[in-house]
Amino acid sequence: MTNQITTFDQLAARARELAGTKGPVRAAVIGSDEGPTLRAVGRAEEEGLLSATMIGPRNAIADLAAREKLTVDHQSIIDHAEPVNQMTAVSEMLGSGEVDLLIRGSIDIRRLLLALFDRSGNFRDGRRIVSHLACFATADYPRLLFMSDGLINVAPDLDRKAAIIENALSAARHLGVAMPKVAVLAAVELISSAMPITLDGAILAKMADKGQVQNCLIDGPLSLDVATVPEIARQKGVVSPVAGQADMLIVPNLETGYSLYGAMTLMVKAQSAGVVIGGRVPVVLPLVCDGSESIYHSITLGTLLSLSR
Amino acid sequence: MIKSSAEIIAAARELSRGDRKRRVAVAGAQDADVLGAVRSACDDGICEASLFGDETTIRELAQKNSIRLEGMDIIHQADPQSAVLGAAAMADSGQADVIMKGFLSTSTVLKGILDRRFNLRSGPTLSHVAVLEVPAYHKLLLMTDGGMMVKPNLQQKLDLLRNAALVARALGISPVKIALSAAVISPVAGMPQAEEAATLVDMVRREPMVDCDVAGPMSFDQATSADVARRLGVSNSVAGDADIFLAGSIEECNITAKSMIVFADAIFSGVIVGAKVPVSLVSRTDPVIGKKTSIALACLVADYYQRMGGGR
Repeated sequence: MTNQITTFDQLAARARELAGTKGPVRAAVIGSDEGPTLRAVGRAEEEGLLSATMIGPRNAIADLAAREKLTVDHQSIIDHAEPVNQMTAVSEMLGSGEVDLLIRGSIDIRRLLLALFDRSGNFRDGRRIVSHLACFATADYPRLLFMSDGLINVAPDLDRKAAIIENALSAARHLGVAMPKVAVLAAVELISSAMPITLDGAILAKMADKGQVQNCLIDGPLSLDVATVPEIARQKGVVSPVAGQADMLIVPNLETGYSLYGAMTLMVKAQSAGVVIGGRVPVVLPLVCDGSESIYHSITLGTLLSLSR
Repeated sequence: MIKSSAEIIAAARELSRGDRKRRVAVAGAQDADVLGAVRSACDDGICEASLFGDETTIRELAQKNSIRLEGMDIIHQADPQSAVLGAAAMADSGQADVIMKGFLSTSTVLKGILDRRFNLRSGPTLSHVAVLEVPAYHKLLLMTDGGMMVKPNLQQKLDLLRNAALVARALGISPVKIALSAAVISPVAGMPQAEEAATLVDMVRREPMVDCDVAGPMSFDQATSADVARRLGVSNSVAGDADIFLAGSIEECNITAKSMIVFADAIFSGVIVGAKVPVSLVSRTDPVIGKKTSIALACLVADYYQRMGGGR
């Protein structure tokens, strides 16, 4: 087991180290005609993390590369202007096993997700559920903070939440988090039938006790401050191995995760990364509020997960 | 237009320097944190206080925590219900401007306020409005409801909007820009929150809220960042400049607000609105400045009600 990765710098170093041993991942950039993505991909390529196939309108990509002073191998461009054709190309690459990592460029997020979920898209890994995993680093927190799911599963029921946790756990383990501490978030710490979300938190915690979810510590319901601030956990009298030191936040629904992601990037100014996991390959998918740096972090995370499969 | 916690406190002090001091009736005052908050608000000239609760315990707690009780009336009420009714009666008679929750449950306080013996009922829905001063945002951000209404339906969301807009007006915000949360920028099947936001916008269009711009569905990032709004190709007066963010559930509001309190040094204050007097409540874990701001905020809301003729 590797040492626990606690910063994005360590994450990038580990991804470079793995790519150095196993070779760069074969990545496809869906809608490569987008500046910040192209810059981040160029950097990752230079560092030996990946070799990219650029899917998008050839002329626009070439112009952009010239403007951004990036070298793009014209052999690596698959010339498709239309998103529907871009996704067909992706599906073919997935079918023939020629791609290890997908990277979202200019393609609309919803369009991308709908195409990936299409049964003919060759993306699904059997019945395994697909979820979005976010990862934050802030000055105030001594480790990376994972969050799921703010993008794909709208209102997950208990079983789906357990599956979301399993997906996130497998990713966290690849980052060396040996026994991830999982906080199932709610507005309060106590269980109340008036707030059904709190019941899910309690049951998931019990499922971990019973070994139904393994190799992790789960506590819930927990409010965000109790989950992440030891002093507040103490003041509120919440004693658990998770309270005050969560590695992972499980949000009750998509809207909560999406708002939280926005607040973490815009108001907290956290460094962030986002990937879709649970499919045949990881998909690098930072959100709209993310900048170029986040795209690079997301690529390093996706690369590490891809090489750890 | 008030833009910070310090300005909320300054405005409340200004009120109390005028014709009369605002008075806070504390229901169940046998709570060290609440006593401390009220003391510091009184010392700052924000308000005066009447303490309803168990007198012996109040005095013991004050002594143990070195909190002076000078200038505060203590009205002995041994049980929580009587303490609330005492505070509510005082507010009903116009002698108190704010009711503050002490050592008793929120539902006990609300039951007392809504008691038919008093004329303190106002709108159909009581809700919690959080006021956040976030260093990275260019003005105060109001969020609702992260404290009371678990999963508001469409009608209740409309009530929540009206309640939050009152707080915004009390802070001198005009026009009030309101964003209706969803994770997408257009209504999408399978995402009820987005569909409801679109319906709400329609409802408000038919029956406008005075001096309010309401827009949605809108994600948090789009509501608070002009840059994100531009990248998404959205242009309306609310995007990137929201005063109020209406969340879809208590969890969404609470978790998002707390991320800014924990990680972005946001100063949090809050008030319950929907009755004829504002109800102030502070949490043990709120820092001193947050508690003081909450009391000052409630005084400003009370003053706004009184000026509008709707309050006690």
